[in-house]
This record gives sequence, structure tokens and C-alpha cells, in this order.
Amino acid sequence: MNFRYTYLINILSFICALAVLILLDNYIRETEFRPEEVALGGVTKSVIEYDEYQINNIDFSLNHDTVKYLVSSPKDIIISLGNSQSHSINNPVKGDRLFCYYLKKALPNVNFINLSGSSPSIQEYLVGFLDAKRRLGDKIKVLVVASIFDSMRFDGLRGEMKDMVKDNIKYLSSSDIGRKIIDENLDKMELKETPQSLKDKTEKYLVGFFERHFLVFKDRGKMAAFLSVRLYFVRNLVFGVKPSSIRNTIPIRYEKNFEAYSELFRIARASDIKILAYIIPIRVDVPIPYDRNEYNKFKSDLGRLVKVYDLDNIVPGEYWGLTNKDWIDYKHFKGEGHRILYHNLKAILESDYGL
Amino acid sequence: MDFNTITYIIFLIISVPIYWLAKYLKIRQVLILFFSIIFYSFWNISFLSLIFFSVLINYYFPLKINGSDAKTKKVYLCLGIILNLSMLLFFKYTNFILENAYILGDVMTKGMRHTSFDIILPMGISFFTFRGISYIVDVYRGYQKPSSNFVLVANYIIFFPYMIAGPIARASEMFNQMEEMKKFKQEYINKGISLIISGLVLKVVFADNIAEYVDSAFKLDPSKLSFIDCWTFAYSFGFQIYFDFAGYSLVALGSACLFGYVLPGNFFYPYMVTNVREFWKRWHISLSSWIRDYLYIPLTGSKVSMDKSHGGIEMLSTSALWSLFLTWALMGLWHGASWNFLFWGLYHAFLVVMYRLYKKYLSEKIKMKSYSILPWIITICFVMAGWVFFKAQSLPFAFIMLKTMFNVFNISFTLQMRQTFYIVIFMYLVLMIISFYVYKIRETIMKSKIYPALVFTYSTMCFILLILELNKKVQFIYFQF
Repeated sequence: MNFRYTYLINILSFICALAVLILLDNYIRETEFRPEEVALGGVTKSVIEYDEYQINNIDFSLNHDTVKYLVSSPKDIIISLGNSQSHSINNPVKGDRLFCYYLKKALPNVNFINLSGSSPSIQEYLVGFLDAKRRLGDKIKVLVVASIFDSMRFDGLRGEMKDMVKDNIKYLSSSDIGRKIIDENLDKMELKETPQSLKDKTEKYLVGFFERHFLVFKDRGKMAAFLSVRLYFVRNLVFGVKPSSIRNTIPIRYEKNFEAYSELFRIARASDIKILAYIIPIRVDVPIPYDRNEYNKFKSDLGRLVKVYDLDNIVPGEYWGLTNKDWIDYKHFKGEGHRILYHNLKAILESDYGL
Repeated sequence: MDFNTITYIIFLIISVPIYWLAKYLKIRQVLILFFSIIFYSFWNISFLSLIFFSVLINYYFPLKINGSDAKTKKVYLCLGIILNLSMLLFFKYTNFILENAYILGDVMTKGMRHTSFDIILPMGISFFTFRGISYIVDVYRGYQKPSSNFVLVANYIIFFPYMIAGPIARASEMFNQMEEMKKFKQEYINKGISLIISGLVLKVVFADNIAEYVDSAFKLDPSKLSFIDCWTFAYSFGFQIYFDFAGYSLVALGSACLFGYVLPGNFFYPYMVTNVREFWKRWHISLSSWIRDYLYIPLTGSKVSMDKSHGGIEMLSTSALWSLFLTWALMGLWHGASWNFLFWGLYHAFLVVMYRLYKKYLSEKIKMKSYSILPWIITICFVMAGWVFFKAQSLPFAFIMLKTMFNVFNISFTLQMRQTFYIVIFMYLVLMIISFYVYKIRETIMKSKIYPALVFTYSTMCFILLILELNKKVQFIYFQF
């Protein structure tokens, strides 16, 4: 092909690429696409609850104002770790609240705070808890742990938690699982805290410049996530993966997350923090998406580490919903499900934990 | 600066027009040197003195060799090589040598004080050292006339497109080009941009998107990995390193092309071969030909031919085998200062010997049909298995994985990563095969009426992917060399 045409094609394809991305960006903005909500299935919405402070915090991060309030308050703290079930409601209607809101209101002598993330690994529980403990001091009296079988299949930390690893190196270094987390999330340069080179500074400046002046550049992460999600749907379509598909244990990850559980409970006990671990409610009136034997083994394995309250069947089928593809949503219940969970946890906290 | 950054793109946008606007050869040569210095300074300005020292050695010794008698020539040759290698030895191998000396010392005497040094490895040292050595040796052999133009020699040693990770171009390939006052042609820009885009797509889309998972995979306990796990992980790293390095090489070729320079190709579908010798003619071509011409052939006592097409030497004598294993061991060590890399080199030497034995004794008896895929399957499996040494955290780790991979009596299919990872690696294999066959029928495609539309679609997709994925912080693998 004539080089003049190649030149023209290169220019036209660059312009076309920009046009496609601008259109995609507009679409994403109009539809308010949020990658973190894809796993919720469309009709389930995440919620942030407030009272005197922000009660639930997504991505395991406590904001500065919340920390300031909690540290200055004379009340003890109950901290809860959970997945997206903790911070979302299926088909929410007006008046629906999260279980943590109800608990916060019902326990006036303590400050209740929930840290959660979508599809967390137990390593994220560990790092999130360590970070909260470091910032809140010895005010934490009870640790509530939502135990999810799915979490045993996940590995690693989300990118946003990298700084938490850096801030808690001292505490993480004292255990094998902690050292693994450090090794996997911080490279040698970050551990040495080497000053930024000229190339890093220049690149940072240029990226900032483009992000400030070009919307398409700023939203690249979201657009890439949008396309990744589409690929994920293609994979599901090709391989027939649905919410009801059986998810098998991944042995190495199961062990690693179990190690993280052990360390989490050890740290809590060493600080005289009581532990309330519960198996999260799932939809049990239909076949569950787990191998029964593996699921039961998970419960008994966890039971050897800590007393576990099995709440997996407390929410009746009528309080569960569907995803946007009319598939059963096994993990995100409607508003009434949060009330039921709240009542159960409150009863346990009052009877067994002296609250 | 890294190739997969906005800084580098802007650097090219600024430097290319300035270069072509210069009307005199000397100015262009100085500009290239200036750009190369700027490029390296972005990484670490303090190593410019080392670069200058390297250029000085490789400028001075070839001039001294030229016009000396035979005995003095040899002295200058040795000095030049020793000085080049000393730099490499010091920065790259000091701690490795000390570590092993301490191990040996601990065995012999207890209570030895261990010291290690915090030595920063200068970027590209393995590459510019080899360029320097090849220039000195070529002058000694009479294949290359030395240049008294310091700027020219400096440009050859530290030309920024190939400065950090090759290809290892020879002086004979570059000097003529660098001494030519080229006229601007649009095709330089067209071709350069196409190569850069293709290279960046391989790197940022294909290599970087699996990098994190490959790293996680190789941090798992190898004793708990299944047959499927080990093979998938080996293939995954094989793909990652290929796309990473081939992508980088394409960007280097494209960047040089923008200035009108032609660099030697470094990769050509290395995984689509039917024997390991062919693999080494297509993988990191500039390094394997360098090792052949400056290490292996001299060790065997043969004369080096400037015709690089003659490939390997079909010798199974003791001295040839000894040279082969020593060469490969050193080649392995060049990649990194650890026993893993040495074993990787020896592994490939073993594969080459196996191939030679097959060629000599069995190829007539076992006649493979030319379209049989069995030779390809065998070759790609053994090559991919070799990458385990490269990526494993330690030798025992590598051996445990290889034991699982070749233990056909105990095949387990338990998966230690999520299924998507295995699917993606399989898709990579399929895409590679498809792209190879598309390349084979490219003449037909280019003649078709839909060719411009295909080019347009491909380019648009590449631009979209690059805009979305550029600047993800995953380092070029070969930077550590």
C-alpha cells in the first residue's frame, strides 16, 4: 500500500479512536457507570450510612473525619468487617437502611463502624483491621467478622489498600502471612522509600496535566473497567457462568486466607478484643452455588479457630432479589434482610458480649 | 525513561522534528548524542560518567588496535575487553560472587563476616558493554574500520532506542547509517509509528495485563501446584516475557526508524518453530548471534564468518560440547546473577545437544511429515518449561515445578488460580498461532480490496487500547539486564 495512504490511515484511525473514546466516556458518564457496582448485579445499590459519623466505609478505608470523631468520643468501638452484602441493598425502596445503621442506633453506648469491600479476601480483612486498630487505638472492644465462603477464593489486596500496607509494615512484619502481604504488594524500591527519579516526577506531572485538561484521559480507568466488564460478560456467556454456577475451592488461596483469619483473630485476642464471627446469610431456599462438602468444611475449619454463629439461613427467600439478568442474587438481600441480620446480631451482642 | 510512558512519546514528538530540521550531518550526530544523554539522564544522571567511560574505552582501543602490530593488537584487544567486562562484572556480579564465596567460606571456616554492597545496576549495562566488545573485536578481526569520530562512536554505543534493552546492533550495521546524511521520507514516520504502536500494544496490553497474575502464580508454594498449574504458569511467563521483550524491541526499531535508522530485528515468531535451534534463530536474535560470533565460535576454535546465516555448528565432539555448555552457561548468567539463570542456560544447551543427536542419529529413522504438529508441540513445551528457571524464586522452586510438569504418572488437574487465568493463557496461545498464519498469508491479504479497511480497524483498535492502557506501572522485564 502506498505510504501516503498509510499516513492518512494512521491519522484517521487516531481520530476515530479518540471519537470512540469520547462517545464511550459520555455514555459512561450518562449511565453513571461505577465499576465497583458491577458485581452487585445492577439492581443492587451500595449505600453509605451517616449519623454523627460515616457508619460504613467501603474499600476498608476510614476517612479522616470518622477517625477524628471516633478517637475523640468516649465510647468504645465495635468494628465490623464484611463484603458487599454489608454495604448494599437489593432493589432498595425508601426507608431501607443497612444493618450497621440499625446496630449503631440500637447500641447507644458504643460506636458501631463497618468496613467492607466488594468480594474481599481475608487478607484485606486483616490489613483493613490492622489499619483501623492503628488509627483508633485501644478503643475497639468487639470485632464482628462476616465470614464468606466466596472470600476464600480471592487473593491479594485491591490497589487502594497499598498505602495501608505501607502504614502497617511494622505490624504485618511480625507474621508469615503479613510478610507475604508486604512482599506481594510493595516492591523493594517502595520498601526502601527511594526518592522519585526524574522520570517518575515527569511522568506524574504529565499524567496529572492530561487528567486535568482532558476528560477522556481522566476517565481511562473507568473506560478500561467498562470494557473489562464486557469481556467478563462474554466469558460468562461462552462458558455458561452464572451466579448459580458451583464455585470450587482453590486450595492454596483457601489456606492463605485461613492463615489470614488465624492472624486476624490472634491480633484481636492479643488486644483483648472480643470476636463475633458469623457465617453470612445467603439464599438457601434454592440450590447454593457451592460444593456442599466444601462449604461445610469451611464452617467447621473456621469453627476450630473461633466460635462461629451460623446465620446463613436467617433471611427467608422472599427477602432476596434478582440481578439485572433475572438471575438469583445469592448474597444481596432486600431492606428487610438487613433488619433481620441486625436483629440477630443485636441479640448475640446483647446476650454473649454483654452489650 | 521507559518506552511505555507519556514522557517518552513527548520526547519523540520533540526530538524527531528537531533532528530532521538539522541541515548538517555533524549537527544531526550531535543531536542524537544529546537526545541519548537526555534519555539516560531521566533514569539516573549520576551514571552518565560510567557511560562516558564506556564510550571512551570503546573509542580509544579500536583506534589503538588499528595500525598496531599483531602482538600489540592482542594486548589492546584484551585490555578493551577486560575493561568492558570489568564494568559489567562489578555492577552486576559483585554481590553474586560475594554471596557464593561466603557460602563456600562458611563451609570451610565458621564465623566469616559477610559483607554485601548496595550496588545499583546501571540500566542497559549488559547491552552497551556487548556493543563495545563487538566493536573492538570486529576492528581486531579486520571486519570494521575504527572511527576517529568520537560522536559517532558514542552514538553507536548509547543510541537511545537500543540503549537500554537492545537489539545489540553491530558497528557494521550502524556506522554507515550514522555517517549518512539521509533525506527525510514520509515512510520513516509511517513505519516508525506503526512499529511503535505494535510494540506498545504487545507490551502494555498483552504483557502487562497478565504480569500481576504471573507474579502471583510464581509466589505460590510449588509443592502444591498441579500438572495443569505448572504448565500454565510456565506458558504464562513465556508469553509475558515474549510480548514484553518483543514489544520493547519493536518500539526500539520504530523509534530508530523515525530518525531514518534501520535496526536489526530481534524476534520472529520464536514459539512457532519445530526445533530448539530454530528457536534461537528467532528469539533475541541479536544476542544469540553475538554469543555465537564472539564467544561460541572462538571457543570452538573455528573462524567467524561474517555470513550470519550459517546458523549453528553441527558438532558433537567433546570440545564442541564443552564450548556449547560453557557458552550457554555464560549466556544464562548474562541474563541475571543467579544460579537459576545459569541452569536455564545449561538447560538450553542440553536441548541443543538433544536436537543435534536427533538430527544425526534419528531424523532419518523417524521421518516426521512436514505438516506434523508434533515437532512444534515438543519444541514449544520444552522451551516454555525452560522459563520456569527464569522466573522461579529459587532453584529448588524450579526443580519442584519441573518435576510436577514432567511427572506424567501423577497428573492432577486441581487449579490454584481462578479459571479465567487458564482461559486467558490458552487464548494467548490461540491468538499467537492465528497471528502467525495471518503473517504467512499477508501477501494475499495485502492484495485484497479490504486491506485498507483492515489496516484502519487494526490501527483504531490499537490506538484505543494504548490510550486506555498506557502508563500502567509494569516495568520491562529485560530492564534488569
